[in-house]
Amino acid sequence: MEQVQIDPTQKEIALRQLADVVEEKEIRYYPSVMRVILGQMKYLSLSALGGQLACLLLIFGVCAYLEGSQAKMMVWLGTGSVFASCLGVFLMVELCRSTSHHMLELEQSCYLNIKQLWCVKLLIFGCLDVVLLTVLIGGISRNVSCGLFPVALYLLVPFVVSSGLQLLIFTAFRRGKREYLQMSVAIFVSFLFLLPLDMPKLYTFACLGFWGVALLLGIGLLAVEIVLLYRMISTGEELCLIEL
Amino acid sequence: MPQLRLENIKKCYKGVPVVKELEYTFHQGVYGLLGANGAGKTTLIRMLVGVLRPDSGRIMCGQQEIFRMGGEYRRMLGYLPQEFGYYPHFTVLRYMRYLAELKAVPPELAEERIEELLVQVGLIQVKKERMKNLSGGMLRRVGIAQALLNDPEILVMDEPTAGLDPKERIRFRNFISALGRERIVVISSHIVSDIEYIADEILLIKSGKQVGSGTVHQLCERVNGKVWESVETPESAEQLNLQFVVSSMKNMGENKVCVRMISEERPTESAVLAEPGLEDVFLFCMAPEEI
Repeated sequence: MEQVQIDPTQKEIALRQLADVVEEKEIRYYPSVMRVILGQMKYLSLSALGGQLACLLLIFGVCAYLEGSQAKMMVWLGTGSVFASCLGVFLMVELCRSTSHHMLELEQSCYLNIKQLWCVKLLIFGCLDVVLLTVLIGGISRNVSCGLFPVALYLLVPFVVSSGLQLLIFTAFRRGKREYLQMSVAIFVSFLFLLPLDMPKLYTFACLGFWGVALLLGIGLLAVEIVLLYRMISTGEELCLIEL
Repeated sequence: MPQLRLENIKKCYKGVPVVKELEYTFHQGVYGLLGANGAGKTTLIRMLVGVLRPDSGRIMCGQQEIFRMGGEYRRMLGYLPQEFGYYPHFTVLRYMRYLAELKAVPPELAEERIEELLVQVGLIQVKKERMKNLSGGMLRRVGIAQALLNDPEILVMDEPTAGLDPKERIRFRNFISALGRERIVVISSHIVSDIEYIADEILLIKSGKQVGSGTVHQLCERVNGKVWESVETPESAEQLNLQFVVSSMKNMGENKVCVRMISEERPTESAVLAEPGLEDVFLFCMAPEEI
């Protein structure tokens, strides 16, 4: 038998080329988190995104008006509370759309399932809410004497409580136009947080602890709601029943 | 090619057992789940696609439990639910692109794949049409196309032929039998003829339990010698209908009715044995206590 001579240099080059090709070959496509987020942004409801944008413009407009009319602190805080209570509505509009067309079952069976999709939606709308709240808090704290941190606290409480209650409605009611109920809750919470404005003492340094506790309770409610929502998706039974 | 194994799975809804101790293995090929409405087919299908968790037992894909596999299992999956959902304002193309993203179809392949599938299901002309403007049959075809977007190794379809006209049905049957050559295809239906033509193997389900399985030929063996035909007067035909499991009553004219029934013994003097079909097996398995 004739022995085949192997050139070690050529062998190494060939093996390296093979390794490069293997490295480059994408056997399975795993989209990155950023790619998923950007991908999903294309399919978000325009009414929810438009609502957020309109809200931002309205915040600028109202802040400019209040600045021009030299409004008092309580007016600033009242207006801020109304906006903060209503910000969460847009995420709920998007989540309601997700559950309104018998798509849940199909989406849950996909590689990116409902859990991940809703995570992305919560993240996108959460970020937008943070932007809006920052603008709102920044705008108000420039015009009131109590400082940035207390203003943030006064506005985060209605935002968190309203979002928690809206999520509660989302998980508790499976049928009907939940969006309207959620909007009603947002309006109700707005009015609820106008009540302390008659009690200016609540907006003093001495009561910051009360607002802190209220915020923690609100965050707790929101966290429980999110955990319940995700448990509901995991077991699947409720998921198959959700429809409009 | 993976195999899908049901290991003693059970599922209850509000304390009522819907699927009971089901054991079965799916290999490559087309499988038909046949059962009456409410037999537990949809629940079983929902467990197969990972939407519902069984109360006990496991569903294994190869050596791994499907819920542990998570996204890797769902990546292999194509699913057409019984109640096929869609966002009404999406165009067909946008809908397919959306699902291609959810199924992690590589972007460079997605467009080509979408076009190819829309051609295959005959919807390329309406790709820019909004979903809400499509007919029931067209929507079903979009459903079939989306289920194939990721070229799934496991294709699960719940009542896929619902809403299709006879021509579309035939086209669908041929399409599915071609697909079954290279993957596991599980189709559920209560329409016996659909399953008879499409499935290589059939799983009969009654009240959440498996009451039979095998090829059409193997299943028909079970009722061999039990299917009878008899020409009767309308009155005695009605009488027979009360006494036996009757699969058909055909008017022959001249006040005569041909009754096809299932019975262990010759039901009437004039009855002659007939060649059994899947419909007879279905009736036999679904109502054994009445025979």
